Amino acid sequence: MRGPKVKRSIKIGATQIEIVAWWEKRGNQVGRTRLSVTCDGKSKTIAADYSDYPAERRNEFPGVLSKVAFAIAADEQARRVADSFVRRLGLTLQNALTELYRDFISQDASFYLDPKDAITTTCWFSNLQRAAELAGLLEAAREIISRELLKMVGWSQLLEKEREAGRRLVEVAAARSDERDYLVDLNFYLDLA
Amino acid sequence: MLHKGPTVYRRIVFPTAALEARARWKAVNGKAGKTMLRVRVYYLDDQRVREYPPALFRYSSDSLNALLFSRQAAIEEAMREAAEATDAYFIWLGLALRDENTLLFDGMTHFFKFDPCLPFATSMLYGAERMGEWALLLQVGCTITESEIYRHFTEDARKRVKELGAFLQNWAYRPEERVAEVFVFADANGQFAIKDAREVVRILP
Repeated sequence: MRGPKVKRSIKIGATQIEIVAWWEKRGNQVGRTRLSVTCDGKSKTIAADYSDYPAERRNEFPGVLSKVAFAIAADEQARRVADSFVRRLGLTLQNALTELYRDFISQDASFYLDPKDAITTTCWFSNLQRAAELAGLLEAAREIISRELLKMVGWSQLLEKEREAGRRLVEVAAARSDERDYLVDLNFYLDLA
Repeated sequence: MLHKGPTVYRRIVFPTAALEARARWKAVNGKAGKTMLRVRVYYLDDQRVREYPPALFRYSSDSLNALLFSRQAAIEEAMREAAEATDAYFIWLGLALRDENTLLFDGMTHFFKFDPCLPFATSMLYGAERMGEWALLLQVGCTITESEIYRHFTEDARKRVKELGAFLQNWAYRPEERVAEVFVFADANGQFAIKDAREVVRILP
């Protein structure tokens, strides 16, 4: 069972970062929202969140309605994961450490890093591993954006532009979270086009 | 120039499996050095070994600095660094087995700097990545320990797991008790027993 794919693209300089998310369920396993990030032609996919909500919604309704309910719920899950990635990437670029940390550690962050929130130690270790995978993706995307910005504006304006790009990404993630696909052209927003 | 230090290992030997943590300090570009930790599980029943992806313990140039005094001092420093990595692994494993997650989290975040008091977001994400590597190795340790104890000491297995956890956790407070091998076995009465390698008399075939 697989839900629709949602796509967010971030254009910076001559390169583009593709963020694709979708919900899926295989057999008796718990459903998961997958997040795939493509930077520089290299793609990496992780399981960003675990939830059976779309499958449950499907069973709540009869006939055609079940398909609609499933599609809406799966789409919602995928959009939430993709937008939270864009938001976290924005916070990373802004160096907003407190907010980023809160985003990682809070209860609605889709993983439980605070050991008090996790049910078992094994579950907590899995959460730490998933957070590490996400951190790897965020770091890879940040590196691409910084590299491209450095090429375009040089050292003198790098930090300023990074912050501006970060602010823009956080704004876009909040404002356009109801859209299935969107493109953020940072070249345009940063007056670099 | 010292390129690599000696490998230091610590092992927990169960009746049908063994968990081994080995660490080694290695020079990087001749200016600094790093200590990596590797974990292996030996399945004694079917003569199989599985090694997991390595985790970084820390960067340290102490061994290279010690080279100013003597090569022997540098080797000892590298060995001390590696021993610290393996000890940290087993002490944290002890905490995990006892479900002392808050203490474990404090220890890990102190080490891998996953907190908002850092200068850059990159450093925080880097810390999170390192924590993830260690989490995998600790999860492997917990899984093999629990499965072995539940398999061989069905009665009061949970209590036995905690007992082993307490034994390992004691290494933090009593460094003189740290040994290379810990044996978990059934004694003459079939009861759960933990002994360190110093106490075990091995009869060679």
